[in-house]
Amino acid sequence: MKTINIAREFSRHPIGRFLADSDTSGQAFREQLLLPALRDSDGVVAIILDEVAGLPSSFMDEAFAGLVRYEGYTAPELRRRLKFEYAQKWRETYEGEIWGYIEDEENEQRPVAMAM
Amino acid sequence: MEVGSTLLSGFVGGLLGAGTKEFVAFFFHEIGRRRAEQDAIESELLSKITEARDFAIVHWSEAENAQGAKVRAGQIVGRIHYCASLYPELFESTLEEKRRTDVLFQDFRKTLTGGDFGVVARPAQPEKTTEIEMATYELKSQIRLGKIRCRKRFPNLSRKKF
Repeated sequence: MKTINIAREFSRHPIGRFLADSDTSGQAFREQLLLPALRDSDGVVAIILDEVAGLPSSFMDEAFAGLVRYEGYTAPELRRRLKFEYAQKWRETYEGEIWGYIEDEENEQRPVAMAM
Repeated sequence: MEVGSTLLSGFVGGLLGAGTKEFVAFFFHEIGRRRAEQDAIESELLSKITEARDFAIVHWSEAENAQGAKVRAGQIVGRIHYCASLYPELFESTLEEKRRTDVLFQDFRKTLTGGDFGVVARPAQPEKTTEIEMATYELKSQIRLGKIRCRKRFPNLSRKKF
């Protein structure tokens, strides 16, 4: 299982959506860490949310829903491949919001399949 | 023998009576302590939510490249993060209220920091103020009413640090 610790390997305070916005944007996280980890194997990628000092919604949407929007992943596939970990239970709020963005994007991309 | 038995039962009865009194006093003391804790959490939470809203209204009313925008973005994200760590403490005894608040809290964060938040090309969007106000009041209302509904249930006396 691959592990990505956002705070230690990327930034404690990510911000921005696109590469043009900042070095710690959602697109930067997706392209530099998330996609390589997902492509490297078929296994689970664990995302550690501890120590991050806040995640803006635009970052979460771009980083994670971007996998569906631009990279062809499906929500069920990501449910199998991504796992969020945190020592402090209250950080589950970020996980809930991220899955919401992924599901919303899935509904946008594949409305017919979801309706069935 | 009979005198001894009467004395013993009187002694045991006295002990039980004193114990019950102590227990009842402790029980109400703990309820009061827990309520004071909840009031402090609620007050802090509502205050930081209001501050995040105030910063967000200024932030969205100006372009993303305006002077001080990066600092304001950090003030918004930091306050929302802090609030995210606080509100579960308020609803530890009822999952239903916690879930209701989860939904509104995520809406609040999405409204304040979603869309083009942090996108350097974002123009000023003062029209977003109404959306920010609505998300803020819906969340604050749930926090206030949720706490009241929690108190109508059996009190949770577990010790929590705030």
